[in-house]
Amino acid sequence: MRRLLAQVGWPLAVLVAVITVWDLACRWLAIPAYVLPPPEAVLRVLVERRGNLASAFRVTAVEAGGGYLMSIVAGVLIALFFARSPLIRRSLYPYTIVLQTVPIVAIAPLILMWFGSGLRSVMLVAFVICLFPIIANTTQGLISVPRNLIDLFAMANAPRSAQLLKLRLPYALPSLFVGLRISAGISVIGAVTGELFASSNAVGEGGLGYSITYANSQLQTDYLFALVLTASLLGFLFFFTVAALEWLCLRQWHESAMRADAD
Amino acid sequence: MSTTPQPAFISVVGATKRWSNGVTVLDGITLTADRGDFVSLIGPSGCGKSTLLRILAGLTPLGAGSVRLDGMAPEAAREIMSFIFQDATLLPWRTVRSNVELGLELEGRTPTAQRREISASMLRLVGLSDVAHLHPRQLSGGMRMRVSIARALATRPRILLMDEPFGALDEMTRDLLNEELLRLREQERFTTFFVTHSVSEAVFLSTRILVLAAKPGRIAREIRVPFEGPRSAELRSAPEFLRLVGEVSTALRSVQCDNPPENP
Ligand SMILES: Nc1ncnc2c1ncn2[C@@H]1O[C@H](COP(=O)(O)OP(=O)(O)OP(=O)(O)O)[C@@H](O)[C@H]1O
Ligand SMILES: [Mg+2]
Repeated sequence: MRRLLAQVGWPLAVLVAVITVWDLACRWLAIPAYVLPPPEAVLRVLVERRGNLASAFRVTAVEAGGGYLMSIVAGVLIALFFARSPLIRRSLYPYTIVLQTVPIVAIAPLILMWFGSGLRSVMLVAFVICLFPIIANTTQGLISVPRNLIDLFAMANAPRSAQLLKLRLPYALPSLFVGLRISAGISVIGAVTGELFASSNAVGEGGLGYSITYANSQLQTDYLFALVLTASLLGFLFFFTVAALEWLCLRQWHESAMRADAD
Repeated sequence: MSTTPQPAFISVVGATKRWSNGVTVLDGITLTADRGDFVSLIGPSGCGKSTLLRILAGLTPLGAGSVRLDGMAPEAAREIMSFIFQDATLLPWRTVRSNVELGLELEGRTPTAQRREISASMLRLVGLSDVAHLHPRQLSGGMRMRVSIARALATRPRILLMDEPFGALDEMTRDLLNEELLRLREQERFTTFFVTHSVSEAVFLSTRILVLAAKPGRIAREIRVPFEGPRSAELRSAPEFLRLVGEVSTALRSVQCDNPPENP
């Protein structure tokens, strides 16, 4: 709980500082509102257009959340496959790294071109960008089970399934959560990026990314700011949901999992 | 338990093991153990003690020779065998109780209620009843080792393989657990192979001590420990005990000094 508080408290302090500097800059440097709207203008838009923001939030949340959940299922399955043998890892791992290093702005238009520019394609963009951290971290956890523990299960003539469910998966859980935390934030990036490309030919999808391009073209910079804030809020929500889940699952033994063999 | 008229409960004949890199780690190990024996393996680091134990457990495949445990090959004998590792190898996400039940759970023959009973009695046996609900990280090193022993005994093994189980503990805890192990042996009557670096521990616990030499690993000496009846802490200061400690130490020194094989 204290960790959670520290995670929230300090960023909050930074936020207050940034807003103060931002406000002062707007006043003293006389920056035009379409370049940098003052904080209160953004706040006003946040309140006035909360209906638009909420519906855009919902659309993007479904896209990011859907892609995220898909990436968890697929990522864990792929990690289980990778954990089976070093040969499999050696032959396939480079391609998952490609997944991570090719910029999402290059992949997104392709996906939208291939699968149409609907909500599901945007979900797919989020899925692709979330996949690698989950594969990489879960695989790492699955293959670092100490040999003695594996031998212990072998001595009990435990079937493969028991070894998986009662040893490998629980052992990999802390690593899986590392991946989940990384992907929680970037799922929103994926969804928003996907929408940027969807907007050119989609009509009524209206997520945060779509609205951002719209606000930008209309020079509604205050609305643009409000949209960006809403997108960050979504990312934060995902992140803290995962962090809370992690705390629930690991609080009993987390530390010991990190140093299981230190006696 | 079984009525097989085998001459020896455990027999190893000409066990040889060579790693894929060509190094021979064990060369023609031949030994037998009777029911209830407590055999200690002692020798220089890297002489293959752990490897021998893992071969007995079927965890490392044998190169040449044969291993029979109660008439069975190692893999089949796992049913009546438990392995205790140097670290406690507890599952950190399980409570002490459920760690003790792991072996029974994986075997899948004992119903839950009965597992509960067995784990409770095993924890009583090692004096840990009041920490049954804790997680391993909340225990001291000695307590963790006790849990590991309770887990190993929960399946009622006839054979116990222990690889430096007390190596990481302080001397006082080690002595205490040694006495506990003797008491458990009185009750459970298992046959034990015990790897250690401590000469006095070996003398205190064993019925026989095998001194191994290195490169390649082979049995250099066998020393019988002839103490009759139940042993207690006082034994450690008996003259006969000290004499045996001296004898084993000398044997150990001589294998550590000369590398070429010597046949006693
Ligand atoms: N999988 C392996 N492949 C190749 N060599 C190995 C392997 N496992 C162990 N060895 C080597 O075999 C030798 C014997 O190892 P082992 O662990 O049996 O020694 P030990 O007598 O238990 O030593 P210690 O007292 O230090 O535990 C060592 O030289 C070790 O480097
Ligand atoms: Mg060893």
